[in-house]
Amino acid sequence: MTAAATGRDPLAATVARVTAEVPGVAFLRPGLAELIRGSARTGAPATAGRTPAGVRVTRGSGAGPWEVDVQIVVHRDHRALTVARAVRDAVTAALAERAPGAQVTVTVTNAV
Amino acid sequence: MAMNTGAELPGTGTGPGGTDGTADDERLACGRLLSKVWESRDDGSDDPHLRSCPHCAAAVRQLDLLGAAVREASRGEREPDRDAGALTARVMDVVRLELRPGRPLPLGEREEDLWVREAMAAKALRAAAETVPGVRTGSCRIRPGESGGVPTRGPVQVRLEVVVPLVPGLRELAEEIRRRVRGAADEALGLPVEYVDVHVTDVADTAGADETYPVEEAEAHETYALEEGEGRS
Repeated sequence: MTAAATGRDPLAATVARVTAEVPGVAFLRPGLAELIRGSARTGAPATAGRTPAGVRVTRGSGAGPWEVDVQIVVHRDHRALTVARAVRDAVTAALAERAPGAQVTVTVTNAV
Repeated sequence: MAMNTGAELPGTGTGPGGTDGTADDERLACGRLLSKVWESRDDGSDDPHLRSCPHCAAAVRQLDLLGAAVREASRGEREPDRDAGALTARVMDVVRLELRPGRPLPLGEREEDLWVREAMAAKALRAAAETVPGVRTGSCRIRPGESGGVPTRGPVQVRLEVVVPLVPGLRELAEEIRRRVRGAADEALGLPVEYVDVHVTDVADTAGADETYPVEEAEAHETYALEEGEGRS
Protein backbone atom coordinates (compact mmCIF):
# COMPACT_ATOMS: atom_id res chain seq x y z
CA MET A 1 0.00 0.00 0.00
CA THR A 2 1.36 3.39 -0.90
CA ALA A 3 1.26 6.34 1.41
CA ALA A 4 -1.14 8.08 -0.94
CA ALA A 5 -3.59 5.24 -0.68
CA THR A 6 -3.48 5.19 3.10
CA GLY A 7 -6.80 6.33 4.49
CA ARG A 8 -7.28 9.10 6.96
CA ASP A 9 -9.37 7.10 9.39
CA PRO A 10 -6.98 4.14 9.77
CA LEU A 11 -4.16 6.60 10.38
CA ALA A 12 -6.24 8.43 12.99
CA ALA A 13 -7.09 5.13 14.67
CA THR A 14 -3.42 4.21 14.81
CA VAL A 15 -2.54 7.60 16.27
CA ALA A 16 -5.26 7.23 18.92
CA ARG A 17 -4.13 3.75 19.89
CA VAL A 18 -0.45 4.62 20.07
CA THR A 19 -1.10 7.82 22.02
CA ALA A 20 -3.25 6.10 24.64
CA GLU A 21 -0.37 3.73 25.42
CA VAL A 22 2.15 6.48 26.19
CA PRO A 23 2.93 6.72 29.94
CA GLY A 24 1.43 9.85 31.43
CA VAL A 25 -1.42 10.09 28.94
CA ALA A 26 -4.74 9.92 30.81
CA PHE A 27 -6.90 10.04 27.69
CA LEU A 28 -7.42 11.85 24.42
CA ARG A 29 -9.29 15.12 24.56
CA PRO A 30 -12.83 13.82 24.91
CA GLY A 31 -14.59 15.99 22.35
CA LEU A 32 -17.47 17.35 24.38
CA ALA A 33 -17.05 20.71 22.71
CA GLU A 34 -17.79 19.10 19.36
CA LEU A 35 -20.77 17.37 20.90
CA ILE A 36 -22.23 20.69 21.88
CA ARG A 37 -21.10 23.00 19.12
CA GLY A 38 -21.42 20.41 16.37
CA SER A 39 -24.93 19.41 17.32
CA ALA A 40 -25.91 23.06 17.67
CA ARG A 41 -24.89 23.62 14.06
CA THR A 42 -26.25 20.50 12.46
CA GLY A 43 -29.15 19.73 14.74
CA ALA A 44 -27.95 16.16 15.09
CA PRO A 45 -25.99 14.73 17.98
CA ALA A 46 -22.57 13.35 17.27
CA THR A 47 -22.61 9.77 16.20
CA ALA A 48 -20.67 6.99 17.79
CA GLY A 49 -17.70 5.41 16.08
CA ARG A 50 -16.36 8.59 14.54
CA THR A 51 -12.70 9.58 14.52
CA PRO A 52 -11.54 10.29 18.08
CA ALA A 53 -11.98 13.97 18.92
CA GLY A 54 -8.42 14.32 20.17
CA VAL A 55 -6.90 13.26 16.85
CA ARG A 56 -7.04 15.19 13.59
CA VAL A 57 -5.32 13.93 10.49
CA THR A 58 -5.19 16.17 7.45
CA ARG A 59 -3.27 16.53 4.25
CA GLY A 60 -2.74 19.70 2.28
CA SER A 61 -2.46 17.93 -1.05
CA GLY A 62 -2.59 14.36 -2.30
CA ALA A 63 1.15 13.97 -2.28
CA GLY A 64 2.12 16.20 0.63
CA PRO A 65 2.99 14.98 4.09
CA TRP A 66 0.20 14.16 6.52
CA GLU A 67 -0.40 16.62 9.30
CA VAL A 68 -1.31 14.96 12.57
CA ASP A 69 -2.77 16.98 15.43
CA VAL A 70 -3.03 15.16 18.76
CA GLN A 71 -4.71 16.65 21.83
CA ILE A 72 -4.26 14.90 25.13
CA VAL A 73 -5.18 15.05 28.81
CA VAL A 74 -2.24 14.03 30.99
CA HIS A 75 -1.90 12.61 34.48
CA ARG A 76 -1.29 15.32 37.05
CA ASP A 77 1.87 13.71 38.32
CA HIS A 78 3.55 13.77 34.91
CA ARG A 79 5.37 16.67 33.32
CA ALA A 80 3.33 17.91 30.36
CA LEU A 81 6.38 18.47 28.15
CA THR A 82 7.78 15.00 28.77
CA VAL A 83 4.47 13.35 27.93
CA ALA A 84 3.98 15.52 24.82
CA ARG A 85 7.43 14.60 23.52
CA ALA A 86 6.80 10.92 24.15
CA VAL A 87 3.51 11.12 22.25
CA ARG A 88 5.17 12.90 19.33
CA ASP A 89 7.93 10.31 19.15
CA ALA A 90 5.55 7.35 19.46
CA VAL A 91 3.20 8.68 16.78
CA THR A 92 6.04 9.56 14.44
CA ALA A 93 7.47 6.06 14.80
CA ALA A 94 4.09 4.39 14.31
CA LEU A 95 3.44 6.31 11.09
CA ALA A 96 6.96 5.99 9.69
CA GLU A 97 5.96 3.43 7.08
CA ARG A 98 2.42 4.39 6.16
CA ALA A 99 2.84 8.17 6.39
CA PRO A 100 6.54 9.02 6.20
CA GLY A 101 7.43 12.57 7.07
CA ALA A 102 4.17 13.17 8.92
CA GLN A 103 4.18 16.44 10.84
CA VAL A 104 3.04 15.71 14.37
CA THR A 105 1.65 18.45 16.62
CA VAL A 106 0.84 17.63 20.24
CA THR A 107 -1.27 19.84 22.51
CA VAL A 108 -1.84 19.17 26.21
CA THR A 109 -5.33 20.41 27.07
CA ASN A 110 -5.71 19.39 30.70
CA ALA A 111 -4.37 17.32 33.57
CA VAL A 112 -6.41 15.00 35.81
CA MET B 1 -12.73 43.33 47.19
CA ALA B 2 -12.06 42.79 43.55
CA MET B 3 -10.88 39.29 42.98
CA ASN B 4 -11.80 36.20 41.11
CA THR B 5 -12.86 33.18 43.00
CA GLY B 6 -11.09 29.90 42.53
CA ALA B 7 -14.13 28.61 40.69
CA GLU B 8 -13.65 30.95 37.80
CA LEU B 9 -11.60 29.97 34.85
CA PRO B 10 -8.65 32.25 34.33
CA GLY B 11 -7.80 33.84 31.06
CA THR B 12 -10.96 33.16 29.16
CA GLY B 13 -11.67 35.02 25.99
CA THR B 14 -8.14 36.26 25.67
CA GLY B 15 -6.74 34.55 22.65
CA PRO B 16 -7.45 33.28 19.22
CA GLY B 17 -8.23 29.82 20.56
CA GLY B 18 -10.28 31.12 23.45
CA THR B 19 -13.95 31.81 23.76
CA ASP B 20 -15.89 34.00 26.10
CA GLY B 21 -16.68 32.36 29.39
CA THR B 22 -20.42 32.20 29.05
CA ALA B 23 -22.67 29.44 30.24
CA ASP B 24 -23.91 29.07 26.68
CA ASP B 25 -20.71 27.17 26.02
CA GLU B 26 -22.37 24.28 27.81
CA ARG B 27 -25.79 24.57 26.20
CA LEU B 28 -26.87 21.63 24.11
CA ALA B 29 -28.94 22.02 20.96
CA CYS B 30 -32.06 21.21 22.98
CA GLY B 31 -31.39 24.13 25.29
CA ARG B 32 -30.27 22.15 28.34
CA LEU B 33 -26.97 22.93 30.03
CA LEU B 34 -24.45 20.12 29.92
CA SER B 35 -23.75 20.50 33.65
CA LYS B 36 -27.48 20.24 34.47
CA VAL B 37 -27.86 17.12 32.34
CA TRP B 38 -24.97 15.54 34.19
CA GLU B 39 -26.40 16.53 37.57
CA SER B 40 -29.80 15.11 36.68
CA ARG B 41 -28.21 11.88 35.64
CA ASP B 42 -26.28 11.72 38.92
CA ASP B 43 -29.38 12.51 40.96
CA GLY B 44 -31.34 9.82 39.17
CA SER B 45 -34.12 12.33 38.55
CA ASP B 46 -36.93 11.03 36.39
CA ASP B 47 -37.05 13.75 33.75
CA PRO B 48 -38.99 12.65 30.64
CA HIS B 49 -36.96 15.03 28.50
CA LEU B 50 -33.72 13.26 29.36
CA ARG B 51 -35.18 9.92 28.27
CA SER B 52 -36.40 11.17 24.91
CA CYS B 53 -33.86 13.83 23.90
CA PRO B 54 -31.12 12.57 21.56
CA HIS B 55 -28.85 15.48 22.47
CA CYS B 56 -29.07 14.79 26.19
CA ALA B 57 -28.66 11.06 25.61
CA ALA B 58 -25.51 11.68 23.58
CA ALA B 59 -24.20 14.05 26.24
CA VAL B 60 -24.81 11.53 29.00
CA ARG B 61 -23.05 8.84 26.97
CA GLN B 62 -20.05 11.09 26.45
CA LEU B 63 -19.97 12.10 30.09
CA ASP B 64 -20.18 8.48 31.19
CA LEU B 65 -17.17 7.71 29.01
CA LEU B 66 -15.37 10.74 30.39
CA GLY B 67 -16.28 9.75 33.94
CA ALA B 68 -14.84 6.31 33.34
CA ALA B 69 -11.70 7.84 31.86
CA VAL B 70 -11.23 10.20 34.81
CA ARG B 71 -11.85 7.37 37.25
CA GLU B 72 -9.27 5.25 35.45
CA ALA B 73 -6.81 8.15 35.36
CA SER B 74 -7.24 8.65 39.10
CA ARG B 75 -6.18 5.11 39.97
CA GLY B 76 -3.04 4.79 41.99
CA GLU B 77 -3.29 8.24 43.49
CA ARG B 78 -2.75 8.65 47.17
CA GLU B 79 -6.27 9.93 47.64
CA PRO B 80 -8.55 8.08 45.25
CA ASP B 81 -11.88 9.67 44.43
CA ARG B 82 -14.24 7.53 46.39
CA ASP B 83 -16.64 10.41 46.64
CA ALA B 84 -18.96 10.57 43.63
CA GLY B 85 -19.31 14.32 44.11
CA ALA B 86 -15.56 14.81 43.86
CA LEU B 87 -15.47 12.70 40.72
CA THR B 88 -18.28 14.71 39.18
CA ALA B 89 -16.43 17.91 40.03
CA ARG B 90 -13.34 16.64 38.28
CA VAL B 91 -15.31 15.54 35.24
CA MET B 92 -16.91 18.97 35.01
CA ASP B 93 -13.46 20.50 35.38
CA VAL B 94 -12.36 18.55 32.32
CA VAL B 95 -15.50 19.64 30.50
CA ARG B 96 -15.01 23.33 31.32
CA LEU B 97 -11.39 23.35 30.32
CA GLU B 98 -12.28 21.71 27.07
CA LEU B 99 -14.99 24.24 26.34
CA ARG B 100 -12.82 27.21 27.30
CA PRO B 101 -9.26 26.05 26.72
CA GLY B 102 -7.64 29.42 26.03
CA ARG B 103 -4.88 29.92 23.53
CA PRO B 104 -2.12 27.41 22.84
CA LEU B 105 1.21 28.21 24.52
CA PRO B 106 4.55 26.71 23.47
CA LEU B 107 6.00 23.78 25.40
CA GLY B 108 9.70 22.98 25.20
CA GLU B 109 12.11 24.35 22.64
CA ARG B 110 11.34 26.89 19.92
CA GLU B 111 11.69 24.39 17.09
CA GLU B 112 9.31 21.87 18.63
CA ASP B 113 5.63 21.64 17.77
CA LEU B 114 4.32 20.96 21.26
CA TRP B 115 1.73 23.07 23.07
CA VAL B 116 -0.23 23.47 26.26
CA ARG B 117 -3.55 25.25 26.49
CA GLU B 118 -3.60 28.44 28.52
CA ALA B 119 -6.42 27.37 30.85
CA MET B 120 -4.57 24.23 31.92
CA ALA B 121 -1.29 26.11 32.36
CA ALA B 122 -2.99 28.84 34.37
CA LYS B 123 -4.61 26.25 36.59
CA ALA B 124 -1.23 24.71 37.36
CA LEU B 125 0.43 28.07 38.03
CA ARG B 126 -2.39 29.27 40.28
CA ALA B 127 -2.26 26.03 42.23
CA ALA B 128 1.48 26.52 42.72
CA ALA B 129 0.96 30.07 44.01
CA GLU B 130 -1.67 28.81 46.43
CA THR B 131 0.82 26.45 48.03
CA VAL B 132 2.09 29.57 49.80
CA PRO B 133 0.12 29.65 53.07
CA GLY B 134 -2.83 32.05 53.01
CA VAL B 135 -2.42 33.05 49.36
CA ARG B 136 -5.45 33.00 47.06
CA THR B 137 -5.17 33.66 43.36
CA GLY B 138 -7.35 35.71 41.04
CA SER B 139 -6.82 35.93 37.34
CA CYS B 140 -3.76 34.43 35.73
CA ARG B 141 -2.99 35.65 32.24
CA ILE B 142 -0.31 33.95 30.22
CA ARG B 143 0.75 35.68 27.03
CA PRO B 144 2.97 34.27 24.32
CA GLY B 145 6.31 35.97 23.85
CA GLU B 146 6.55 38.50 21.08
CA SER B 147 9.06 39.39 18.45
CA GLY B 148 8.38 42.63 16.61
CA GLY B 149 4.79 42.59 17.84
CA VAL B 150 4.17 39.10 16.49
CA PRO B 151 3.55 36.20 18.91
CA THR B 152 6.42 33.74 18.84
CA ARG B 153 7.21 30.32 20.22
CA GLY B 154 9.41 31.91 22.84
CA PRO B 155 9.08 32.12 26.63
CA VAL B 156 5.70 33.30 27.89
CA GLN B 157 4.78 36.26 30.07
CA VAL B 158 2.75 35.57 33.21
CA ARG B 159 0.59 38.08 35.08
CA LEU B 160 -0.88 36.70 38.27
CA GLU B 161 -3.24 38.44 40.66
CA VAL B 162 -3.13 37.36 44.28
CA VAL B 163 -4.79 38.09 47.59
CA VAL B 164 -2.23 37.69 50.33
CA PRO B 165 -2.51 37.22 54.08
CA LEU B 166 -1.85 40.13 56.39
CA VAL B 167 1.74 39.34 57.23
CA PRO B 168 4.84 41.50 57.31
CA GLY B 169 7.19 41.31 54.35
CA LEU B 170 5.02 41.70 51.29
CA ARG B 171 7.96 41.77 48.91
CA GLU B 172 9.38 38.50 50.22
CA LEU B 173 5.94 36.93 50.03
CA ALA B 174 5.55 38.00 46.41
CA GLU B 175 9.03 36.68 45.64
CA GLU B 176 8.09 33.32 47.14
CA ILE B 177 4.93 33.21 45.05
CA ARG B 178 6.94 33.98 41.94
CA ARG B 179 9.52 31.34 42.77
CA ARG B 180 6.84 28.66 43.13
CA VAL B 181 5.07 29.74 39.94
CA ARG B 182 8.33 29.56 38.01
CA GLY B 183 9.05 26.18 39.56
CA ALA B 184 5.68 24.78 38.51
CA ALA B 185 6.01 26.18 35.00
CA ASP B 186 9.27 24.30 34.62
CA GLU B 187 8.70 21.12 36.61
CA ALA B 188 5.00 20.43 36.08
CA LEU B 189 4.60 21.81 32.57
CA GLY B 190 7.90 22.43 30.80
CA LEU B 191 6.68 25.90 29.84
CA PRO B 192 9.51 28.41 29.32
CA VAL B 193 8.75 31.65 31.18
CA GLU B 194 10.15 35.08 30.40
CA TYR B 195 8.82 36.74 33.52
CA VAL B 196 6.18 36.46 36.22
CA ASP B 197 4.43 39.61 37.41
CA VAL B 198 2.76 39.19 40.77
CA HIS B 199 0.03 41.73 41.46
CA VAL B 200 -1.26 41.90 45.01
CA THR B 201 -4.86 43.01 44.65
CA ASP B 202 -5.87 42.72 48.28
CA VAL B 203 -4.70 41.74 51.72
CA ALA B 204 -6.87 39.39 53.71
CA ASP B 205 -6.80 39.49 57.48
CA THR B 206 -6.40 35.81 58.13
CA ALA B 207 -5.86 34.78 61.69
CA GLY B 208 -3.58 31.81 61.88
CA ALA B 209 -1.58 32.53 58.75
CA ASP B 210 2.04 31.64 59.24
CA GLU B 211 4.09 34.71 59.87
CA THR B 212 7.17 33.47 58.19
CA TYR B 213 8.12 36.57 56.24
CA PRO B 214 10.48 39.19 57.60
CA VAL B 215 9.20 42.52 58.80
CA GLU B 216 9.24 45.14 56.11
CA GLU B 217 6.46 46.94 54.37
CA ALA B 218 2.77 46.54 54.97
CA GLU B 219 1.23 48.01 51.89
CA ALA B 220 -2.35 47.07 51.60
CA HIS B 221 -5.36 47.80 49.53
CA GLU B 222 -3.85 49.45 46.51
CA THR B 223 -2.63 47.05 43.89
CA TYR B 224 0.93 46.28 44.65
CA ALA B 225 2.77 45.07 41.62
CA LEU B 226 6.03 43.25 41.83
CA GLU B 227 7.17 43.13 38.27
CA GLU B 228 9.98 41.04 37.05
CA GLY B 229 10.27 42.16 33.45
CA GLU B 230 12.50 45.01 32.49
CA GLY B 231 12.41 47.50 29.65
CA ARG B 232 9.00 46.59 28.36
CA SER B 233 5.93 48.69 27.87
